[in-house]
Amino acid sequence: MSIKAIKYKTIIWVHLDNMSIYDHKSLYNSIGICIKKVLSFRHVNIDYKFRMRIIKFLITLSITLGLIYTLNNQLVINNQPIPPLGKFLDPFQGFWQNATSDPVPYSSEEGLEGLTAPVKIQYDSAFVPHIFAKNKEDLFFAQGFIIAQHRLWQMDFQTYAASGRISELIGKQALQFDQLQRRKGMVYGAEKALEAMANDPELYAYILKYTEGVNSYIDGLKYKDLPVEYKLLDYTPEPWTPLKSALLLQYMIDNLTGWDQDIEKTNAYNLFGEEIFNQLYPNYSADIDPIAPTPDDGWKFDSVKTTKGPDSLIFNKDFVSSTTDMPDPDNGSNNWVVAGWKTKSGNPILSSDMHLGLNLPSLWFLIELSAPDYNTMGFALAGNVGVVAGFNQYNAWAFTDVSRDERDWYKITFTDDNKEEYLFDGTNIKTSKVVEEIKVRGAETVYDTVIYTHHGPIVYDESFPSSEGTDYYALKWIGHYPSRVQKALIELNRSKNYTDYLKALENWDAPAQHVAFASVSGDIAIRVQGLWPNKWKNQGLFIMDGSQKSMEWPEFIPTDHYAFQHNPDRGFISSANQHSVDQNYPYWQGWASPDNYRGRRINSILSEYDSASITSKHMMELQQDDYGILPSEVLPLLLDSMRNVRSDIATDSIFTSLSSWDYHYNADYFAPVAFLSWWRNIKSLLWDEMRDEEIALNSPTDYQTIYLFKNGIPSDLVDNKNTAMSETLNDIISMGYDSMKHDLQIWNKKNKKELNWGNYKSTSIIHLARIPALSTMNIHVNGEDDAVNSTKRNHGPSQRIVVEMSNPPQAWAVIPGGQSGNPGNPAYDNMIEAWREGSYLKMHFLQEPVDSNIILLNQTLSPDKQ
Amino acid sequence: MKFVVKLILIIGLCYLLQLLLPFWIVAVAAFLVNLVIKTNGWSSFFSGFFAVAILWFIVASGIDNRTDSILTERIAQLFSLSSFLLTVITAVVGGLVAGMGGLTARMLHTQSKKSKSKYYS
Repeated sequence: MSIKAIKYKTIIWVHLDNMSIYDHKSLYNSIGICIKKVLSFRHVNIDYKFRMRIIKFLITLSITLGLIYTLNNQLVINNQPIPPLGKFLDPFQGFWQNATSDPVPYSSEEGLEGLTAPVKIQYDSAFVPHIFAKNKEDLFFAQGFIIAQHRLWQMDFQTYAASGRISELIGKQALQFDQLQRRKGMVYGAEKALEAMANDPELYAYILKYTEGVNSYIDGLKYKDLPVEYKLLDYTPEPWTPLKSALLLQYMIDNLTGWDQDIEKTNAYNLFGEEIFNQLYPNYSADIDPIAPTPDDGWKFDSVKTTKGPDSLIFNKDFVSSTTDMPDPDNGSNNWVVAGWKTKSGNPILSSDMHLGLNLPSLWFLIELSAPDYNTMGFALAGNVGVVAGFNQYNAWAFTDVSRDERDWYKITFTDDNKEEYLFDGTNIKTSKVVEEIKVRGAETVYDTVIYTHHGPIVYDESFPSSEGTDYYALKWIGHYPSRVQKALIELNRSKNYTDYLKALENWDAPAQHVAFASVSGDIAIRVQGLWPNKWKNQGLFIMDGSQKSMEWPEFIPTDHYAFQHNPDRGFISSANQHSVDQNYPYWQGWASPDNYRGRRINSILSEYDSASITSKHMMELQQDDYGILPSEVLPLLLDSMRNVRSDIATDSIFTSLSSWDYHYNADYFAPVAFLSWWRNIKSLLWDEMRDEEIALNSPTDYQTIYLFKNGIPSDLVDNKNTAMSETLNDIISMGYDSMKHDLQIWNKKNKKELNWGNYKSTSIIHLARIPALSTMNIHVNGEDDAVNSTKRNHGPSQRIVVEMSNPPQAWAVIPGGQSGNPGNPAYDNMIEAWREGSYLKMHFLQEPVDSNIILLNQTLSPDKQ
Repeated sequence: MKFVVKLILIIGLCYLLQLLLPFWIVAVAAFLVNLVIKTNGWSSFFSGFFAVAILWFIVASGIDNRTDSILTERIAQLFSLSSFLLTVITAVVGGLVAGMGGLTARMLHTQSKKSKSKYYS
């Protein structure tokens, strides 16, 4: 018996020892085997008492093993996932091990298989790594390794988000999101981009080395070293693949081109009729300050004639009740470059800040990359080769989004119930079907069949986004074309002059960007770069008929017909997502949500500077500029209206505060709170037609609303339909004022804080997994989306950089977060304060390894031949 | 006295094993020590419980101190706890696992003693 007992014990221990931290089946088996064997000991004559003791032992053992099992697994209590408490709380392996007081807690020596020569990495006082490699293959291997070392969870998670796999991690609350990602064909688009990458042997070799670098980091990880989010959500990193790099680009493409209002506009057209529609939603605003205006002597190319459009634009008479979630239409940016003759030093100065969702870990990663014939510094994405916006010894470049309508919708007419074929140009065309398998944590896998037409995948059908749908809409999207931007980025990274910049941009297809450029040799330039079909007038503003050939996208316009500015007379170029070109540009452009304010402000300030006066400091100040043109153009009108209608208003404290406001969105001010609340209430009362209808509709833009205030609103729309009386505009303004006062009273009751702009706006930088404890909430920061400092609640400058094109260039930069992706590292959020107050960190463009006290850590990655 | 010896042995063993092995090794350590040193059930459980609770509390507090509570505060907030309470819960969780390991040994212990007397005396 004892020998056998020992044997059973041995079984258990052997099993426990072999039991991986992620596998519990072996543990179950051991218990099972043990209980079965002991209970089957009938042939041994054991007395009752002894048997009871065995059972007592087994019960205690089971409780112990059950406890271990419970503490080794995620629990769900009240729909709240609780991390596996034993693993998670263990101070030797659990979350405690993620805490560090050292911002660069990395080992100084790493032996890695896959390198050909040692790579030296220096971390400077801003915690920015500078990678020095003997060749580009090793450089990109090291970039992959270093990024993973800082940001593994983030890069992995973002690819889950891009490909619609979040339910796999957090359960069914992400199902709708995942389904939309699948239906939009995110992976389909990424696979096209990957194909384009694979067709370029040099680029693909770099991507493979990068992948190898990321994986060599992942391979060296034990549970203890996993980023804390893996421990919290209880899963492990997947191997990195080139497709994941492509998915990350796709994620950015979606962020920047994934917004349109074609469906809302179709509804509006059908509801209001053509005349009112044109007044509410014009394609061009009355007053624009375009990025690349038509030169006095016109564009120097013969434009290609577009194909003939259909006779009628609007064929879809059905109303659509709701549209899918879309990225923030304010995803955009500022960039500008001033020419040498405008600056004090005589060097051009480039400025850039990209406005995106504010998240932690930070979107961008600051890095310097150096190998023979390649030395660049700037902002890298966690998951892509090279840097995105940045500079090298010769050039600097930066991006803002082109606010064009890059998604169109085609209504599909199926010819059979199984949706095997659909009508097109008088014949039937076969569909293809992809069954999307969406794994859901803690629930059954969901299967969603996505039908692909030659236009693109069908997003809207009878089951999605709501079960009320009746029509089928296929998505035609620039994001489904093979993207070569990764190639363009590498070429920009190593460009030496203006010609190289042009050459690099030949590869830039999507997302369309205004690519600003400055060189040490004195060139400044900007191009409206990106694929755009040579659309017939108003093509794609509305839902199109997927069965008519004339509705299809025409050929893309030739790349050498793109609008641009090169060393313009005014001495600067700038872009802030406004209309890229004017109406004299020979190709018709459909705009998505062009900005009407930031660009005008930037241009007016840059124009005011005399020659030889601008310094880098001025450019940093302009990036912090919180002046709102929007309130300056509408508030005087509102105040006048109030004075006319309400004789007692002059003594009202809110009114006096508004009257004396200087239109700066300063975090300490009260006036911007009152203005914004008032303005929102006015719009809500005025455009009640758009809110109350049970169909998807968007209100006109702020700019257009103000324009109509001044030039006459279609009379029927002024009246608020929810009241018995018939309101005038003055009544609406006055009612809005009272609603504002009411709203602010409620705010005061709810919040025990001073009611100022910073507290009211409550800017927060949210952790990617929406975990508040890992986020930074309520940041007291100036700005608003219509100001140059475009900081709103959860959105704003995701980076800022100013580069002076001295030889070598000097740069100052900041990100709303930090270099580390680890919430337990001081470098996770160390730059937020600088970002908030508008200060910058000096970038150390080393170019070669230095022996200096700015270096905090030297790290060597050596080839390890095993 | 036996209790103190067990306490020290479990702490030492756990400290070494935990550098490499997952948290449940504390149950094994407490089991082994209580298998070798025979005591009653209470002592078996609490030797494991206190040994690992003390060890985990000290190690966790040490990390918390060294890192200025950088992560403890965030995780504590996540569970709506204070940093101190999170450290105490950490200690209790570790203690429970080891305590049960110790108690399991005690159950086996009684048996092998009896079985010896029955079959091998």
